[in-house]
Amino acid sequence: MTLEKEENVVRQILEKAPYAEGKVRRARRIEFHIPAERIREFLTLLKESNFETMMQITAVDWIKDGEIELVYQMWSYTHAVHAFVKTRIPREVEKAKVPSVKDIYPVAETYERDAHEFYKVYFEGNEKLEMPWILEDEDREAGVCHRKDFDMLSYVKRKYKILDRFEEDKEDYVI
Amino acid sequence: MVDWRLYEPLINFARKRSMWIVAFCTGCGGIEMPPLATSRYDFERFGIMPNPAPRMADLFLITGYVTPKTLKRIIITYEMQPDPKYVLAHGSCPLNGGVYWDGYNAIKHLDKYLPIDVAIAGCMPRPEAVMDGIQKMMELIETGKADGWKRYKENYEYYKKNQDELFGEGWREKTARRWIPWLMDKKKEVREE
Amino acid sequence: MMVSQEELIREARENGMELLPLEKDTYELFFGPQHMATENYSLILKLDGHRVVKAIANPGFLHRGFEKLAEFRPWYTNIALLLRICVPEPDVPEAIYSMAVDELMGWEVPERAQWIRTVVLEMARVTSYLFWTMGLSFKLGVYTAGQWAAAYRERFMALFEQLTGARVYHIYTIPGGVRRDIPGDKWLRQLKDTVEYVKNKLPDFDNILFENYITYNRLEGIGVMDKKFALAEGVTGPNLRAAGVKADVRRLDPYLLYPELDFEVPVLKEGDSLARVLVRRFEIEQDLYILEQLLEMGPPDGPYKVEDPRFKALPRFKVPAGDAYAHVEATTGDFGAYVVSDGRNKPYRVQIRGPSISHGIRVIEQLLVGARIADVPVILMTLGNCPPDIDR
Repeated sequence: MTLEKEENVVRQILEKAPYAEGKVRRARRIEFHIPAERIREFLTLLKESNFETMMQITAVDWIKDGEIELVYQMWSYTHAVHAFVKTRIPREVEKAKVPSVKDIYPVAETYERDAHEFYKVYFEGNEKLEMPWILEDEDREAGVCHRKDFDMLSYVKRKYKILDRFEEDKEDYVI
Repeated sequence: MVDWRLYEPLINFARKRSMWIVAFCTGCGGIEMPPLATSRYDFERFGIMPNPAPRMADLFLITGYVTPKTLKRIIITYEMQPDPKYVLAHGSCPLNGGVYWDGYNAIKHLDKYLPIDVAIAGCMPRPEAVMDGIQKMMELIETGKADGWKRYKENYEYYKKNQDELFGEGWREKTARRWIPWLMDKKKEVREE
Repeated sequence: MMVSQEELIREARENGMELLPLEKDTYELFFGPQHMATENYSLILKLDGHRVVKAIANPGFLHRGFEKLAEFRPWYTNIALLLRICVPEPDVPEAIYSMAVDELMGWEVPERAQWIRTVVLEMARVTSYLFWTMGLSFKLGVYTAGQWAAAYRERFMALFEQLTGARVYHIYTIPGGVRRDIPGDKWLRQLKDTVEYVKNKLPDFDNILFENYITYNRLEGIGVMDKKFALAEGVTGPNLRAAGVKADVRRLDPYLLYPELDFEVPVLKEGDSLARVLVRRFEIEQDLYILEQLLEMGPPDGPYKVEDPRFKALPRFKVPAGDAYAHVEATTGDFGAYVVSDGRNKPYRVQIRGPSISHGIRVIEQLLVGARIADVPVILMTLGNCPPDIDR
């Protein structure tokens, strides 16, 4: 089956945004890679090209490359196409900063709170980041997060004083 | 002078046939509560009813896993109930953590924080298994052995020590005051203290 | 004898009691987890009399950290873990995870397995809508319809038990197909009889609940959302269809056997609570009609699982590197999963997007301003909020 509709969408967007790279993955899935400074311009452009909703902001921690990849999942009801918009930012907590997009898509406020709580990415311009979200205060102060260098099993052992049979430095303690 | 101890068997019979449940759906197992309460596995014929106020309830069903945030509210609700009160734990999560045995946000051994009378195995237990547990609870009440509330009162230091180690000191005041700065509108006038 | 406020404050201070600062004439109410209407989810309300002035959502009571736990378990063990995310319809997280892993593996799922997966998903939708009807009727005070809905749901639970072995947590849909075959023609006949039975009882529900004067009075004109607000705030599912947007994932991004089925997508314009209730009522009919069509088609012959020699050593099952996104129309909205793999025997990142993350946090905070206390549980119920989706 032809992928004409998706190729048209990719071509129209790439004409107006020369700094981006885009391709068609399969029927109804397209992908863009953009540099981190241009995220606001690109999302404003997507909003004008009929991508009405943002589904989620996913943060993936690539510890070997030293970067965090932010994937913005955008869905369009008019074209019926799902777009992945991927950027990469450095991994250290002081340098992981991105401008917030909550005035373009208001629902992004909730997604940014989620990514901040679990991956410690700071979104500039979002005042609700200090508000308590899901984790309790004592967990937040102890540094609980979903990054790859957080040692979950030793934290559980310290907190609940149980599970002494399992060793923390083995990767495969399940099998 | 009336000696109430002569009437113990009658009082125990009345207590076991009219347990009221606190309406608090604490976890996964809450989805098997409506089949129990409605017409197929009806438990209202035993006198059991859900009641919204903890001051008028005596049975607490902990249906499934418990997170520390929920455990704070469970302890506050449990202490609001009048004596005698009973606790029924569903599933394998309150016993040893269940599927979330290595998770940072699921309590592994609930008996350290709250006294449990009857535990029901399964993940999740069928309504027939829960009825079995309720009947065992009724047996314990009849013979006078359901004494979780007595254990809580006598060993209060043990339970309090475990709770404070998990949550930190002074957790009740901190929980009550946590949202006040976010609710207040700083532009309007504030009533002076 | 009337005592003035200043005297009370002075007396309290002399006795050592501390007063908390609040604004004039408003008070704070914890609409908390111990409540018959919210399912372990809490709202902090600021009230003036009986009208809500400000609302803050307080999730986090059911957080178990699925996204981190899934990185430590092999690919097939994750099915038993991830399906505990959405409790009223537990087949949906299984289906999206399996569809995403199928896309990464690149194999073709046999047709019999696709037919069985569609039937299981539709049965899950019908049971979830009946569970929602029971919740709605208990909150409005019309208890008879709730008892009926729970009883009819039990018939479907018995069918699930014969097919998969458990009433609630099925662990049935796996990457590559389904785990077991249908237990014979008798099961198909029982399913057909059950669908026919529930369809004939829908006019009774209309008489008591959906065309009742009480329901209309309590729900009309409350919690209004218009089309622009709904699209900007990321609302999906029946709530969006009640605001005037014709959107259904089964039509826009078809999966499984939906391209061959004929069904309507109900859309209403008003966007208030009554429209959200009526959209769900029309969808129960459409789901029963889909089940009738599937039963008439009959299951195609063939294997029910992909035949692959790697299944003999499941803990060492490796998936090629890449990423995939799959989404499915659940009764609460648009449920999606994003799976990233780097070629090992465990996933690198699994993210589940529950539909209540958009309408449980921002939408409810804005819809509740100006509502009365008695309307708060009703608005929460008509939005179809499922707290484990937010907390994961």
